[in-house]
Amino acid sequence: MSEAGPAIDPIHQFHINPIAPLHIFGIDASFTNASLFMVVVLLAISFVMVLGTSGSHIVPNRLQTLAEMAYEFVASTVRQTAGDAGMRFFPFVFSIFMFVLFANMIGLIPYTFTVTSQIIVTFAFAAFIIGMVLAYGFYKNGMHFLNLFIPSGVSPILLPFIVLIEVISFASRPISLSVRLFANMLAGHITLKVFGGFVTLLLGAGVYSLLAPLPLIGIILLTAFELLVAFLQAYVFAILTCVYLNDAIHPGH
Amino acid sequence: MDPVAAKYIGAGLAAIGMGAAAIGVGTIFGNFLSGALRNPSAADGQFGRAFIGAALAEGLGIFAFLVAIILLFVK
Amino acid sequence: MREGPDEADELKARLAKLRGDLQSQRDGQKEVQRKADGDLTDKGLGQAMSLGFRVLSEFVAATVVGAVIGWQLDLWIGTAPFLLILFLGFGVAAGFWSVYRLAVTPPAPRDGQKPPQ
Repeated sequence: MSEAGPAIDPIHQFHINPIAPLHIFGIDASFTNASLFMVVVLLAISFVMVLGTSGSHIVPNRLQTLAEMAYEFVASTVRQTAGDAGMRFFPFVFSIFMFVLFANMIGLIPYTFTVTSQIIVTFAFAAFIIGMVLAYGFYKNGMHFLNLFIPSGVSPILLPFIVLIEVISFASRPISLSVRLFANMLAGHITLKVFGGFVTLLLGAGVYSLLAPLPLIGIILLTAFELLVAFLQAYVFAILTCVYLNDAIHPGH
Repeated sequence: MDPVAAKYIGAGLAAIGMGAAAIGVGTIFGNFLSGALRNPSAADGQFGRAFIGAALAEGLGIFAFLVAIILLFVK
Repeated sequence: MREGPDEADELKARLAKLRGDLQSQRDGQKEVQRKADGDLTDKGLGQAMSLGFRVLSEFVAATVVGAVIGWQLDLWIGTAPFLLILFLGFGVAAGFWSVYRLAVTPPAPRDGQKPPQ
């Protein structure tokens, strides 16, 4: 409400506002609205998981079914992609999947802030995952981890180029992982805001206010689509984490 | 010509590439549909491949978009 | 040679079993027909879209990473656009390579879905 920005401002929802300013050694470590919503996501996950598993009925109630379904889903995904040796990463993959899923879903509630629509958040996740893949790969396999970049059955003439291409494709993994989630969330929310702006514009345009319900229906359908995308992106993020961890555990094709 | 004006014109021209990407994606799904109408039971198995092809075609459209963005916002 | 009633009973049992098998086969075919009729709103569409998103982002990311590596090496060594073009080509090749790996070995199907034949 300060400067005269454009009438429809879809970018304002991504603005990070510090709630409790805090500066440590010159680094801005304020508690912002992004941090607030990360805490909200954590509380939501803890609520579902702790309360869901506290009852332990044989015939589960709804919350327990939800918790058990989430566990079973991620466990089967990890076991299918990374095998039984990958189950040691199950808590890690489960935490990532639940955090991304809940962050995406909570962002769909009006007036909330979508944590995963910030590139720095998704890049932090992706960098941590790839860092863990590298660290565990070298820890478990030593230098044989570099067999990942040498596919079998390639003639020695092409080998340098193939290795370079494999290295580039490995280096593109954190970028693709983070940008995929970020771009999907960003695009979805910007589209929702733009349609909302259309509703307001149409309402203020005299006779055309009869058309105002049309963008509203568009927003409803888009929100349904965004729910699908939220779940899909969380699933793809988790499954790719499992695939990359499988590359660390069993390098070489 | 004023370089800023030339940049804006260039960005507009680069965005035409998105139209080419739309043609590419439409071609892929059109072929998928005509094949699916001839052999419906085999269509579901190849649905994923149709999306792979569409994603590749869309990728090049995204590059055109990237060029436009670079021309607009990078000094 | 068996006695009459036993033979009749055995035939009846086999008929009942055949009827049951035919019924379950018909149900299975109805399920396949329902799926093939374009019931795209269940897991099939979601899995295809997630595959498509994955291919798109991996292809674009590989090309962009190749271009960025080429550009930085150019700034470092000073050979004006040649390394950028070269590594852009490598990035595109890397993108196609990962797409090929995704297309030829499709990702493992979720529980309850047959892998594509």
